[in-house]
Amino acid sequence: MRSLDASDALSAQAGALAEREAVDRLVLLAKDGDAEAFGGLYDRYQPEILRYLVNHVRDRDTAEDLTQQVFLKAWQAISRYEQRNVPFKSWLYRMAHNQMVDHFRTRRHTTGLEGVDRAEPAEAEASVLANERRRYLETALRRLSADHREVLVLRFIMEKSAAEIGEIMGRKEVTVRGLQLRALRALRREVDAMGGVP
Amino acid sequence: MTRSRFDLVLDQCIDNVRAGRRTVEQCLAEWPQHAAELESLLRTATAAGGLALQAAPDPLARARFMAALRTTPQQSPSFWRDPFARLSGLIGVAGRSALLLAPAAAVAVIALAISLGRDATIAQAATLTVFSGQVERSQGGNWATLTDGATLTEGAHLRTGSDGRAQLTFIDGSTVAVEPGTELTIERARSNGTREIALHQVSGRLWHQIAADDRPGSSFTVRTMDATVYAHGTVFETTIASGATVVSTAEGLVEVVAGTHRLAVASGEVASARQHIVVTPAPVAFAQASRTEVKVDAPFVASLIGPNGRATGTLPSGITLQQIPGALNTGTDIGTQRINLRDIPEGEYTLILRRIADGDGEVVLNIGGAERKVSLSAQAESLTVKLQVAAPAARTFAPAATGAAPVTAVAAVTVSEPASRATVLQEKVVVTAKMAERAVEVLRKQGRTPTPTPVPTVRPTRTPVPTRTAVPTRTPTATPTRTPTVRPTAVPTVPATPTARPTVVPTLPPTPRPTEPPRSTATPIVVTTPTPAATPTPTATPTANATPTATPTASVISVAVP
Repeated sequence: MRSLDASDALSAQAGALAEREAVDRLVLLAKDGDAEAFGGLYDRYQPEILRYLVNHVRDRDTAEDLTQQVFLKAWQAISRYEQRNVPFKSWLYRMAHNQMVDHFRTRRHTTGLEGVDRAEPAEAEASVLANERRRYLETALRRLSADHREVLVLRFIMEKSAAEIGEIMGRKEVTVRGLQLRALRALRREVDAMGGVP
Repeated sequence: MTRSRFDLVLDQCIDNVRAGRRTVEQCLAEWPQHAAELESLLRTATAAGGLALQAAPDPLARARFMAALRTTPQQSPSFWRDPFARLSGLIGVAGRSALLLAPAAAVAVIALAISLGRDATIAQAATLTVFSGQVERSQGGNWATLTDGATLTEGAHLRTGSDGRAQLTFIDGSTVAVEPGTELTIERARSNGTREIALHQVSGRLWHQIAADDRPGSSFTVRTMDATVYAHGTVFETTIASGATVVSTAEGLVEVVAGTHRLAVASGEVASARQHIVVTPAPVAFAQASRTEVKVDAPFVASLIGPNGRATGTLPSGITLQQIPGALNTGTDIGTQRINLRDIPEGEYTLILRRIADGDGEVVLNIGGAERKVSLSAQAESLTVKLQVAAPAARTFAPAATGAAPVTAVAAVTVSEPASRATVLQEKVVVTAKMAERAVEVLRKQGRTPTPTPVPTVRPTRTPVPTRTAVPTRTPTATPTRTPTVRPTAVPTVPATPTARPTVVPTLPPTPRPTEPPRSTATPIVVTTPTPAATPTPTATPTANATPTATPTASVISVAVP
């Protein structure tokens, strides 16, 4: 993979600036009640928020429902959103996180990921091993604390940087790095306790 | 390196491995004092990344969301700033529980409304015509090939291959030509009461011909990631290229909304939008750009038929076609028809002129500013002109002053009279009941007697026989006439639905062939090869069974005009 040269960096910077301006304008319009403008924000961020929620709740239908609720709540509450405090996307992530927490609070874990069938005989197919490996990891992830799970999902599944995670979780970057370290250690312990990933 | 900075080392290693700047092994070599735990955690991190689930987009999700949004009120800023207002709000009838439940309730109500609203008129959103190449629909995350005549419903997510050309015909008669490399979703398409059509264009080029509908609430919108286009009774195109959406109006007026900008784009104007923030009116006039035009100053109607049966023009039945992107057909009175060519795709086109009334006249081919006239005698019944269109210029939309506007270049012209039977002259047309109604109105305005439009009786199982949609009302002459006929080629392949009204198929007997060819009086412009003599071989072969359509207002047939 090649590194960015100066012109690439400038171009990326200009693109990011234009995007930020576009989002700012859409937010301002949405604050004035412009539904189409909010539709523009929905178009930008719905796929990412949906992916975030799918990876937390591990169920497509549930994630879709939660995503819709997140954006409706964002539409309702956008008048109190202050652009100078936190990027709009991070604000959405926080709402998505709260929505997900509410969901688990009311649902009390009905995903069935707790019980991993260890009795399944070992098979040669790579796909079987991969599935097994995935189930172990999912179970281990599920057993972590909410903070640990959140930082791992954001860092390794949503591929956010520590700085971005800090904005989303409302913590300092250095705190996120520490949290990340502890979360990975916790995940490692859970996996080891289950006999290790096959 | 102290132990307290291990979290930083780990974070950097994660970034470097993810970006491909380092391998895990290189990181371990770089930090030997942390190698043991670093390796364990990097392997764990890599495994965690493998848990990612992907969520394919649901094309209906946005429509559902926007419907819910419009019934969900925003909270006023004072709700958050004023604790007393908030308190009274919470204690009031609405209450906090109602507040929390509002979104969910709104979703439920809208879901119910959507469910109840799914009447028969949206069972069939559009009929697909495939002119060439690959056209696919997304089904469960995979792409499935669509065939000509396929019925599409709301939510259909389509794409064309590099050679795929197709058209969507909606119930109200609006059509959308889909060019190669285009991806779109039919988000909404219904016309019970008012016409509501909403497309989401992801890429490529669409050429829209929108039927006029002045009823309140009627809408036709095209949404891209850059802008939303609102249209009423117009012809325009939307192209997504180089990270921008270009909207070009050929006839009428469209409104482009992008971010804070709202711009009316009139006939002959072009606008571009990028990321909801820019709308740039580009003064490239359609008329200026297109110096290639067919002008019919004769009691004939002209139809330009492109490769694979796409056509722009008027049929003797009064039905108008706008299927070729970049070509605009105007003028419904006798002797006023124009076909303006801007930047139509390259290839061989056939312009066929068919008599609709008595008299003589001429057809003027204005090719790049040079006029070529073809006389049409009182005896001539039809005329064929072949146009070889060269590759269009680069699709730039620079100001007209630069002269960079795209212009259709016609490399060769061949004229023959009468229209040759050996020539493939088939317009692939899907005719809806609304289109037929409008065609009858055109004939009435022309003072011609409307023949029952191609929406006749039902023949659900028999092979359709050729029919005649509109007969010229001129006084018969001694010259053998070749009356334009309409033959069914691709009778709708709409799946049968028990409750649906069957599709109609033309049933009139074939038109007799002339016993001798009409005398030619036209002067060929450029004759490259002699046109073969007319061979009385049917060019239109009925191939499909007529099956019922799913909607009472969408009587659809496909016809070919020899």
